[in-house]
Order: sequence, then C-alpha cells, then structure tokens
Amino acid sequence: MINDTKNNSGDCEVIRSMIERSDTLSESERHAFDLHINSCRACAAEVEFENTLREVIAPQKLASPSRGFEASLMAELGMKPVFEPVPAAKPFAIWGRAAGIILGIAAIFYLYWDTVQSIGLKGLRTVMLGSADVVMKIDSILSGSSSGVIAKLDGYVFTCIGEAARVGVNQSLLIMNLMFLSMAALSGIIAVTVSNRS
Amino acid sequence: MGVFDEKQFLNDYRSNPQAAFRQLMNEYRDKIFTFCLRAIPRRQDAEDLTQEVFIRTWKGLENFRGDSSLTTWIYRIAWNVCASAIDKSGRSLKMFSLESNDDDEDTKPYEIETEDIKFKNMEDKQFLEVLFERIPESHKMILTMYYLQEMTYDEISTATGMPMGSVKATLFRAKASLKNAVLAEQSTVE
Repeated sequence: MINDTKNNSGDCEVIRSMIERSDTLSESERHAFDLHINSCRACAAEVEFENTLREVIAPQKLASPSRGFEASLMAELGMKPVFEPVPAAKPFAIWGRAAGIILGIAAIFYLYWDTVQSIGLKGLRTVMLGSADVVMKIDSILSGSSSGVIAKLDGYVFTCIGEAARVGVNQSLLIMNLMFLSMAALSGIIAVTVSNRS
Repeated sequence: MGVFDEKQFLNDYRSNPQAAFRQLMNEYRDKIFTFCLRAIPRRQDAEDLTQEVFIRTWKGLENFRGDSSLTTWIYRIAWNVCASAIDKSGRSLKMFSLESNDDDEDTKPYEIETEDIKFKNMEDKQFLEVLFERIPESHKMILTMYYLQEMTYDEISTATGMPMGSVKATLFRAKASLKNAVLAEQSTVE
C-alpha cells in the first residue's frame, strides 16, 4: 500500500541516493529500495521521473549526421573514404527474376498462339471486342444497387460462357488457358518476391 | 552492436591507425553529433562541430596516454569545441558554479521533493522532451553525458573541467528545473 509519508525522510534520503545507481545495487540494497518505493509515493514519483528522463535522453534518440559527413571528414583528414559496399545480387535473385519474366512472356505467347489456333484471328478479335463489352457491363453492374450485384454477376458469368460458345471458343480450352496464365503470373510474382527477399 | 573495447582500440590504433580511427568514429559519431546538437541546435552547425571534434581527436590520438578513459577524453574535446562555438555565437555557456568550496556539495543533504509527478501518458513525456530542449546548453550537455553516455560524476568533471560538486549541482538543478516545469504544466491542466 502506498503512503503519503513524510515521516520517513531519513529513509527517503538514503533511497533517493540509490535511485541514480539503481542498476548497481546489491541484493540487500535492492530489497530495501523496492520495499521503500512500494510504500512511499514521493520516492516512487522520483523513480518514475528519473526513468522518464532516461527515456527522453535514451540512446534510441541518437541523431545521425548527414550521409556525406564521413566522406567530408575523411577528405579533411586526407584519408580515403570507405564506401559501404553494395551487396552483390545473389545468383538466385537474378535467375528468379529472369525465370519469372520468361515464364510470363511464354504464357502470353502460348495463350495467344493457342487461342488463334482454336478460334482463328477473327474469333480472337470477336472475343477481344466482347471484352470491351464486358467492361461496359461491369461498369453498369457496379453503378447499380448493391442488392442486385451478386445476381447480376451470376448472370454475367453465364453470358460470358454463352458468348464464348457463340464465337466458337473451346470452353475447356479457354478455362485451361486462363488457369495456365494465372499460374504463370503467380509463379512470376513468387519468383520476384523471393528474389527480392533473398 | 558489440561493446567498444578501449584497450583493443588502442592496440588496433598502434597497428593500423586509420582503420582504428574509423572504428572509433563508428562508435562515437552519433553520440558526439547528438551531444553537439544539444549545444548548437542547428544540424549543419552541429555537423561542423562534430567534424571538428573528430579532427582534434585524430590529431590528439598520437599523444593520448590513457590517463582518463577514451570516452572522457573525447567528450572533453567535444565539450571544449561546443563551449568555444557557443562563445563565438555571442552567448555564454551558463554554468551552475558554487561560490564556496565545490566539494562541499558532496555533503549537502539531498533535497526531498514530496510532490508527485505522474507521467500519465505520452503527452507528458513529449512535454518533457520539449522542456529538455529549452534548458541551458550546459545542462543539456551534462545530462547527455550522464544519461546517454552513462558517465560518472568524476568522468563528467574531467570532461568539462568543472569541479565534481558543480557537476552534481548542475545535474540536480537541471533535473529540478525540468521537474518543476512539469509540475507547473500539470497544475495548469488540472
């Protein structure tokens, strides 16, 4: 229990002289210190103030001079500046990025080539034009009331499949291509992320 | 970050002065810059002072005999450089000096404050930070040596050339003025 004691000022003097060297107290001193701090509000406040002041002037608050400081000082002293070596990129990072890019490009070409093979250039153009229509439809869905959005999206998926069937796109092939493209994109993203971390 | 070993540094200095000096600069650069920043709050000026401290350190290392610790010696240089800069700026380094024998301060009983200071929240700490910036430069510099570098009264006395009693009195006065300002602020808020 904390008291508002003023009758133990003798103890307070001893205890407060301990505050500044509280890190180096012996076991018995520490015991007496803790006991007193737990029962004397004034000394507890003193400890709190001391701790807060330490936090304010803590090493974490160190400021650093500007980046050019060291080079400028070294030049002044006629010494060669030491530049922080830029860490060399690890081989994995380079290969990871290259693999990601190659995989992405290959996927796009494959999709293009396969789509042209299955539906011809004319069919592809129709699907692409259909895509513009898709964007407009999404716009209209999003501008509509939120209650009907899911129903409209459901209906839209069926419309898309119907549209693909109408222009002669092999639906399973289209879905496979999309999956392949997604996987390629995902591999690319993973490769770039991993290479950035390594 | 490993602990800086002064003995090891002096050995390294004998075998490869430049490499050892770089090591010393890495250890003290931010501390000395912060110290200078507390004497002269403008960053560019503080940087110039820090540079001056290291130039003097480099020039003096050859004659460093290890009578005091390396830290105390570097801070003595820093103190002199900053005091001189403050003088040049037309201000004076406000000191708390005792007119009587300074060592009498050792026997002076510690004054008991019975008032409470409660740091209830972050704002109080931030307020203390603001107050800290406003106290006289000499107080800030001594508090920095004491709390940041954890130098003893004796070491601060050597670094500043002040008698130990004055160091204690300055620390006491600086803390008391900060404490009173916090109390005053808290009483206006309540």
